[in-house]
Amino acid sequence: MSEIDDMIDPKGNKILLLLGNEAIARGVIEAGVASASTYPGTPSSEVGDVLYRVARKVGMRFEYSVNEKVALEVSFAASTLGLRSFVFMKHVGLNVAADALMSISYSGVKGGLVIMSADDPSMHSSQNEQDNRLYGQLAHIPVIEPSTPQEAKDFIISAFELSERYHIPVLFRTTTRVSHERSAVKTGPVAGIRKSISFDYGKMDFNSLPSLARQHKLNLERKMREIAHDERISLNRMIEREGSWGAITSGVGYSYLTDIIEEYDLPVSVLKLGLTNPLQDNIILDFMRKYNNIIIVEELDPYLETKIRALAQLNSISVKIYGKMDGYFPTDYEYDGNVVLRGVARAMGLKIDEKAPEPAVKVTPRPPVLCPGCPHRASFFIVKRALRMLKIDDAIISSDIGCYSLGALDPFDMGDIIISMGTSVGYSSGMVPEFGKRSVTFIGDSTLFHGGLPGIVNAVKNNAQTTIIVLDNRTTAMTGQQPTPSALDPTYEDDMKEISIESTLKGIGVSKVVEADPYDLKDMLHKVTDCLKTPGVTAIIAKRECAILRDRKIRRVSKIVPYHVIPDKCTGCFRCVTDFSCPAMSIKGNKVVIDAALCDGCGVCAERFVCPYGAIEVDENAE
Amino acid sequence: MKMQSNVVICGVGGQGVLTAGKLLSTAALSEGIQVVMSEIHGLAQRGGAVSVDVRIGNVLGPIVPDGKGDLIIAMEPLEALRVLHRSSRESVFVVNTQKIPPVSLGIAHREYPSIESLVSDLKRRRTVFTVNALELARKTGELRTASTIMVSMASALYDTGITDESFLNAIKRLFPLRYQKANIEAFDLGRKEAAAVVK
Ligand code: SF4
Ligand code: SF4
Repeated sequence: MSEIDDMIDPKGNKILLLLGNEAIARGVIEAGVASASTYPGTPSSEVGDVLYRVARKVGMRFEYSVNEKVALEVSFAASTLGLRSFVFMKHVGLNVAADALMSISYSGVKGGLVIMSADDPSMHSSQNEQDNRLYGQLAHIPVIEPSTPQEAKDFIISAFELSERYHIPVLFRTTTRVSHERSAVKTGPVAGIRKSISFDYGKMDFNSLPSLARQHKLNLERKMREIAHDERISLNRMIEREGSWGAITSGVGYSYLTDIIEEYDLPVSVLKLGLTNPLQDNIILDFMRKYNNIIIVEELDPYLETKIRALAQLNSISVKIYGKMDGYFPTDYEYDGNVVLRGVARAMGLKIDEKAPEPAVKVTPRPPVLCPGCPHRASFFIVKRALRMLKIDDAIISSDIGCYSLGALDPFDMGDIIISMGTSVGYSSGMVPEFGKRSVTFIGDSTLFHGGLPGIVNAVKNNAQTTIIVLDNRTTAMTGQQPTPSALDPTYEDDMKEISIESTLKGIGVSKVVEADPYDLKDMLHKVTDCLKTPGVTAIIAKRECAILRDRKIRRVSKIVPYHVIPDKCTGCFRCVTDFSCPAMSIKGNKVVIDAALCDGCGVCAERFVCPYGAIEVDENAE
Repeated sequence: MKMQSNVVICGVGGQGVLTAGKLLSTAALSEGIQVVMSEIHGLAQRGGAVSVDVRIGNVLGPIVPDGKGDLIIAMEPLEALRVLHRSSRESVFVVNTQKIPPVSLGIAHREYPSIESLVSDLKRRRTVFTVNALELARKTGELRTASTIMVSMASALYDTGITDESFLNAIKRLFPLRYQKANIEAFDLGRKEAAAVVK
């Protein structure tokens, strides 16, 4: 059976090597979820990559929503109809969805509703490392944390049971290392999807008018008290060993801790919490009464620690607790075996004979770069040139979240501002006449719809001075080429619509809206300078498919034809590598060479704007 | 065979580092050995330095602690040096000599260091085997089999306890039908290359 067949196999009972996120997708299938929605974001995206492919085969409805808030609202709608629904996003996505969440928690749900948040300690692909367990506390909803892919799958099913038993949304919180860990997962049987739809008209169960919300709040607190004492919940686990030390942990911290206890044969019993809101007090109190030294291992904020210290104090348990608040463990960045070992060794006063690894050698840094053939490179190149030609040196470059965030690095340096999804335009709407400043705004097609439109309305309304470059690469590229509202979705083409960016912007009242192909440098330059000279809000829609998508299509039918540098024509001015910097180009001696294995054949570097000597040509004879 | 093997696979985003890791861990599972792998997704993949960890044997934590890597499979020579601190003096390095100059070098008008200097630098510190996997991959008609060649060669030079049969099972499971032949060929080439370098 292929991987995909195994993923949807109704019988299960197989051992599969799954990524944490794939295991979650399998859990969602096993749980009989009828409706799933998301806005893609690393480290949550692979859940969608699976569901997108298999949803129809298993009878589930799946959508890439316009943003996380709408994704939650769509899932909530399905839930009010009695369907099991699942919504997932990266940690900062929950900020977008939070407004709705804070009231959905009050009103409660009908069909089970599970909300997955994938946090990103160490900010591998994110702008912050907020600890979203705190959202569970803020919204008064249960939080479930798996430690491994196997648990990720199993706990999804428990999460739905819990959600339906108490009519409460459940927050399912992973971190990068759980979502992106691959290990063996034993699958279980797939539950049938419950499809009968009903709605209780006129009951106003889901209405948050203040008079009703006051009642909802009391119900919510009662549910949470009951969950804290519900003995049917088996998400917490105790692993007992001889000795007076105990450790309380959750998430991936459990894996590192277990490895250390086994490797050094430490006398530490472990209480592993899978339900981290509400805490099941009795279990923790029993544990603390048994072991009078407690180590707490959790990434990011001292979330468990704060609660556990309070519990000890309230119950007058004299116990020594070692955690972050007293400096044994760090509050920033993700943990690994070394970090946990250091904290445990210090707490226990162990002398662990560790050979310090050799320090890292200094190697030329290699940050991520725009792909060879990326249309954004051409756009940045041209905008930079246009600004130079018009002698505009005071424009603030307001950029956004996507592959094009990389435009902030050398050689383009275009990213004075990068904050959060859609902030590029919101920020630029602050470039009002009173301040006498202007900006150039970069925003991707997907980000534009996600959170950019209100900013554009505000910019037009307040007469801000900005030129918006919509980097329309026809996809949500950074997270793995998911579909966007402005391009037809190849899998679901038959029942979805394409939304025109041009008419949207025109409708809002942007004074000049033009489309351009960034590969056509001359035309692009002409249009960009024209917009920069026009007062008010102007926009260029730089429309050209993401190179990865295009490559996939080309490879299916033929081969990529690379470009090469004609050595006799190359003068060694190095303008191409300095100003355009395609990763396929490099310096060899006093010439530039193009690596045929990396070249995408876009041909942009052959234009005179990049190589004034015409030294770059297509290489028809390449192997 | 050791109880536990810590493998670090590094390279440049787009070189098939993830595929190499999946091949190794799928083969381990097919052999019935416990395995945990840590992957990189998202922005970090775009042409930047990437590494994935594969831990074979009885262990839960997905990250190989610094200094604990037993086998380092480097798809690119600079990247081999970059992960040096993750290995120990006993580690084995298998390095693809295909160079991919970081764009920052070009911007600074600098040339990529010579492969010989990079490799001899590494060899002074560790046991190192090299191969031009991209050139070898050409023989299979599919350049992207370079990662299979690397895994095959490395697993011959450092015993992870996984049999050829399990690797072949893994290839059949992971690659679509039309790429299986090229990958099986690549696996053979990697094994032959390993035999040649130890001679
Ligand atoms: S994935 Fe697409 S949009 Fe992103 S850098 Fe590569 S070519 Fe550009
Ligand atoms: S044609 Fe030129 S710009 Fe395009 S990918 Fe090849 S080297 Fe890069």
